[in-house]
Amino acid sequence: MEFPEDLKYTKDHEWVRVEGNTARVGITDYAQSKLTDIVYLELKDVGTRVEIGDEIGVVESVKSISEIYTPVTGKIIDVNKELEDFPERINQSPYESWLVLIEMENPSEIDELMNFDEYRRFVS
Amino acid sequence: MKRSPLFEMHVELDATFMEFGEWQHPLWYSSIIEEHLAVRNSVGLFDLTFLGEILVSGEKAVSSLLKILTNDVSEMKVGELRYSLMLNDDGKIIDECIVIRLRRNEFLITSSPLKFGRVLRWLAKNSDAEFIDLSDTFVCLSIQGPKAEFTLEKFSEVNRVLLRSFEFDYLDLGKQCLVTRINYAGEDGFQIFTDVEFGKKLWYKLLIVGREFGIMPCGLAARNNLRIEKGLPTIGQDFNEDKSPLEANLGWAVKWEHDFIGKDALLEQREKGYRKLVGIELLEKGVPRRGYEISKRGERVGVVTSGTVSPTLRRGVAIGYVEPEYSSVGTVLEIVIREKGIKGRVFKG
Repeated sequence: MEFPEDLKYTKDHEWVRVEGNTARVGITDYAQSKLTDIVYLELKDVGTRVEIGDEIGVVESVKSISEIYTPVTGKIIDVNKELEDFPERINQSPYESWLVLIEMENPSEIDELMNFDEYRRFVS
Repeated sequence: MKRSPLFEMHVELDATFMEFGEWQHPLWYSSIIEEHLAVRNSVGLFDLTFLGEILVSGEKAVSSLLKILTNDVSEMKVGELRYSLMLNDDGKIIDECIVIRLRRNEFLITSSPLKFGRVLRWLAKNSDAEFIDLSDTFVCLSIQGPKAEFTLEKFSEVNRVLLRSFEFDYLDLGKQCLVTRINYAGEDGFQIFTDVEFGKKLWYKLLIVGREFGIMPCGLAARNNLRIEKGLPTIGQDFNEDKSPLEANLGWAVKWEHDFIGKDALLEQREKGYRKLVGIELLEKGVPRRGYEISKRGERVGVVTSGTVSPTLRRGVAIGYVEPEYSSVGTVLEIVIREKGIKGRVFKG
């Protein structure tokens, strides 16, 4: 199980990479291992404004459906459309399979998130 | 919770378990998709010990089975097997069974783990024949896939598998085993019945001998997805003593020339019309699931009873019941997923 040190993590098993005033969001190794074979991904459109905790997409495996929530408030400025055609990549490399890029309205929201060590303890 | 005698082997193989009726059974070992593809492309190994086995014998065997099963066992040759349905008085399916004619007056019936108790009680009530529950004496293993035959032929005593589909024979796999040739998800396959001690050894032997063909142990999830992909309904999911063979698209397992329990109800239903089971292949992205609505131009016309994504087709596949006018192959329908109608087409109806 991987927990990259440069990322922040949410209780809903999303990871966040802060890039200037944007946040790149994906789901963690733990999340993909619980979902097992991911067969479907649907993401909100570019331009959508989301508030912290809003749904930004849905990921489905053979056995379950899981909503994905934004850890930050802001506007979605990029979406990994290609991943919607190859959702299984999330299982293969969860930290390279980013889902959305959000321009943050309130960067201090990042401070509320867990660091890698806190998240690792959270899932054990 | 009941467990197969092979439970420890499944634990060793890192299986994830589920509750299947009263049984704690492997849901998958490595990956549902990999196991699915193994069955389609090479060979998969299943532990089916949870099946119930009943031996029905004696002079009244044939007449009793004719009474409680939709298929005609009197037509069967010794050495043959048939898929048959057991109906209640209202014509609804209690269970789907495989009937194996071991001898003229000796039949081995396999029954679903979800329904076995009900089947035994039904037999007690409606059959004059002698019957014994042999379930605890058997281990049942199944190998399914295009390489299944090659795998069996690796056993040194088996020169060539001469067994034909829907027949059985006794093969020496290190010990004489009852082997049936049966496919239940569109692939060639064999079910092997043997005693518990040898069954445990045979599990390992099959994994070793099948290695060159890429054999994988496969769980219930793969088993379920394989048959959904082919539009094949199953007990517990698509019918559960609430649907008749006509509704479940299993009319081919009914032989109308003999009298059986539920026949009158079926004849009546034939006149009245009924919702029918169909297989639907999605034409757009989406994962159909049990309970989702099936619609036509926004109007509800049916419901999904089984759904998955087929790794072979890379598309969603659903089984469900629809109004009869929408049941022909080629009909385009929508499956409602999160309030959106996702287009699909009937491929089996």
